[in-house]
Amino acid sequence: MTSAVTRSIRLASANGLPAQRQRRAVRRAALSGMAWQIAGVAIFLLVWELIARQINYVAILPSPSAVVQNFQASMFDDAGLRYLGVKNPGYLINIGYTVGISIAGWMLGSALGVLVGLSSARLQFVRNLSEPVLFVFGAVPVLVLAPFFLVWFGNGAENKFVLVTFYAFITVAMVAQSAALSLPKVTEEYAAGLGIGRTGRFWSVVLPGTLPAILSGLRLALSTAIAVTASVELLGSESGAGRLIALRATQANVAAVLAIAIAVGLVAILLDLVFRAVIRGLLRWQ
Amino acid sequence: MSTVIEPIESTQTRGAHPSGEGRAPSRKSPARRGGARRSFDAKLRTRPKSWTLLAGAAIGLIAWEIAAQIIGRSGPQAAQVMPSISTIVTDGFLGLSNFFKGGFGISATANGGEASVQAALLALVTNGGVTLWRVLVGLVVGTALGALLGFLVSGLRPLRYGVTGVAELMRMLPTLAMAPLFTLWFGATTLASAVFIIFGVTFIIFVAVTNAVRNIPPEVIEYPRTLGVRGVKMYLMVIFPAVLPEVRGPLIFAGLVAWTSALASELYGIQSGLGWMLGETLKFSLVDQMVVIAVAFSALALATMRALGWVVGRVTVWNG
Amino acid sequence: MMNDIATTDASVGTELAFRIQDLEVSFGTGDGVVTPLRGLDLDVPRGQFLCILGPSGQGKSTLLRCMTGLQEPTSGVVEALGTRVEGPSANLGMVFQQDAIPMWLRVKDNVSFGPRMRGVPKREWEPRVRHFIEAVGLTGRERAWPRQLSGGMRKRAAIAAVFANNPDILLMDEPFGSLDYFTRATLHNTLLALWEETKKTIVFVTHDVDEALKLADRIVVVSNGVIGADLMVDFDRPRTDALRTNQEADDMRRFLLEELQSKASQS
Repeated sequence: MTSAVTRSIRLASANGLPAQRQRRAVRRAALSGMAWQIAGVAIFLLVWELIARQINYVAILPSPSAVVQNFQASMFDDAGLRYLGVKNPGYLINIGYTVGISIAGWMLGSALGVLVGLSSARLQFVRNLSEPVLFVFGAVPVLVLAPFFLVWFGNGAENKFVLVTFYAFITVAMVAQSAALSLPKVTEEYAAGLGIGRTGRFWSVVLPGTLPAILSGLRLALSTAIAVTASVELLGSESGAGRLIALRATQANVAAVLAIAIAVGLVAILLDLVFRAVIRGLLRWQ
Repeated sequence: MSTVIEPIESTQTRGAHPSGEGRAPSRKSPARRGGARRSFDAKLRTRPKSWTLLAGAAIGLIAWEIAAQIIGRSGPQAAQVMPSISTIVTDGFLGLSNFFKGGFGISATANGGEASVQAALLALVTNGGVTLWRVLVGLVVGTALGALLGFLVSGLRPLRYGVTGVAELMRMLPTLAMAPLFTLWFGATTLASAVFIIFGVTFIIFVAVTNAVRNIPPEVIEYPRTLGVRGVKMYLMVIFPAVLPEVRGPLIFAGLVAWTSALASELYGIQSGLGWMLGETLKFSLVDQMVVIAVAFSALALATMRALGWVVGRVTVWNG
Repeated sequence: MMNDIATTDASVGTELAFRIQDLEVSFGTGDGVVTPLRGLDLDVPRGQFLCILGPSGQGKSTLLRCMTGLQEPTSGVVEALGTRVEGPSANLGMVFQQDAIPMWLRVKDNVSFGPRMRGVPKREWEPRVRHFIEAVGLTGRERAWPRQLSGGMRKRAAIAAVFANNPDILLMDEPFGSLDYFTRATLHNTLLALWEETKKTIVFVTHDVDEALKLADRIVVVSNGVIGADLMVDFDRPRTDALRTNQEADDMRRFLLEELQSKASQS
């Protein structure tokens, strides 16, 4: 077992190989890795299907195929949900609604978060202003504000947008601040020695230097923002994936809950893949 | 460990400051306002100032009161959704008596008991205790499970890839919004809440541990191997401590996820805990009570997260 | 015997690059007060290649940081070209031991980083940048990322970048400390060629006696926070392997090594 660990570590670093062979070895390892990942997911689905058939009771554990069937049936419309008062009960449109609000809030909150997080690491007055908020919500779930926003902004899109913007702001600002505080000082000293002033160093050294950390913070914030939005929708909303989950759960329809949740997860994965491609382009220097 | 180097105040009054940027030595320097002589580096980074926390709290309270006074004047409805601080500490706090289910010689208001400070306090303490218990159980079990699974799977490459593939997908699920599923499976019980938290925590720790094991530099393992360390000893004495610094961040994150999950599960369907109280006040838009509960919840979360940070820091103190 | 070698007439009749008087720096740390520099005096004439030699922890890096403006003195005077040093400036170029150049800029963008960021017009910096990239032997690698270069090549880029910024004075803090012997030797030649071409003042911190003997016009030893020894080194340039068998150089080397050893054992 131990030797397998060392072997895989050695493979990952591919010590001492010439560049081309090294690249080929890494690519081969990545390919076989992907094959194993796909195999893992396939086995997982298979085991799930088998167990579900054994239990044979949809209210406890529906099989993957039942989940897929549920999704297909209600993708665009669902008579049952319409009867319960949902105006646009198709799964897709509700998922789009939830994801759309999440992305909008994520963009605004992240932009503010990067700006405040980075400048709070370099300007003491920004640090002083932001410290109380970051101190509290670095340790307290932002979700605790959801009931307030529901009362103040109603159960439309506004309360979720405000909450998710604040959530992304906190998450990204924390990451950006700690990245800027732990950025090795030598490059900034070097830039200062070239005669580059504070503002110039901020844009030319601090921002690019912390970009890798910030981008991974943005990835995390995006996928969790969607979950936060959906969970607020459980508490009361006109539409959205969370609303549908809540309604279906009261009917003990596990297949529908899983279908909606998994579909939201797949959208999150898709967004993450797109974002990762963008990151790869931005971080070619690494 | 980094020692904080505090610059000693200059004995001279002449203060020199960042200015010298641009093509400088040609610039003449008139005497400027004094200041500590510091290295460039010390001026570079900001530091947390503890007074800002108090100032922030004061500003928050004042801003709330101003908003309450302005909005609250427009009618009783508005006063209810934006209550003044005095309303919060009196009506808001006493109103929590309704959440007390009786005991300790004090009867619940539902059984004709009086709303009292004791009943309100007991409501907060008992429900806070329940929430805290769920978080702790979920965090500890989830961490142990995730770490164990992570180490087991790290030993075998195909297994590692297979399981991490599934875990990466699971991690992207909107777990928070799946709280109703757990009440369907386990009923409206503490078990449902704890399992829900475990579900959230386990994947974070699992993914962190497998990544950390993969990122151990080869020499860290090769050196003990030359000393003859093998098998379980290798895991306990080398691999486990070697991954600790890298899972520090994810552990803190898992703590936050545990609190968020506890809140989500209690807000949806479970009949006890601070989250449940919060959900009930939401139903009737009782913002005055909501504030008291939210503050209690935040204080509890803040305290445990600080404690978690301290423990994690102690365990990895050798890593600085 | 030492008086034959140690002749110090630095400030006589020349314009000064640096005038340092009674320089003192002390820090409060968790364990008490550390005073790396205690009343140091040093004059550096323009155009000189000065090596600061010293055992580690005796203040030579602190001295250099005071000279660049990265460290403010507790008391005393640091003047560069007749003006008090108040902070980092474009006229005081710095080369660090670590890789300080931004890793996210390609070689050419790195060499032009300083002038570009200071808003120097392109037509002014473009020829300089091209010239110094060629002078350090990085022609053809302009589009490479720093991570694609070897440690020595990255150091070449750093040197080109600081020369392209055209400061009057260059300060180097053990710039070649992390390189292997042969890379070091070729970089010495590159640096000396650039120095002879540009006639800039260079202050070079090192703990390697041979490196100092090969590069310097003058060597000062910093120990216990003051200048412990100050020697002029006037061997013919280019200095070659002949230096190793030169009797005078050998005396000097032995003197410096003894000086360093006695100071190191005190600390």
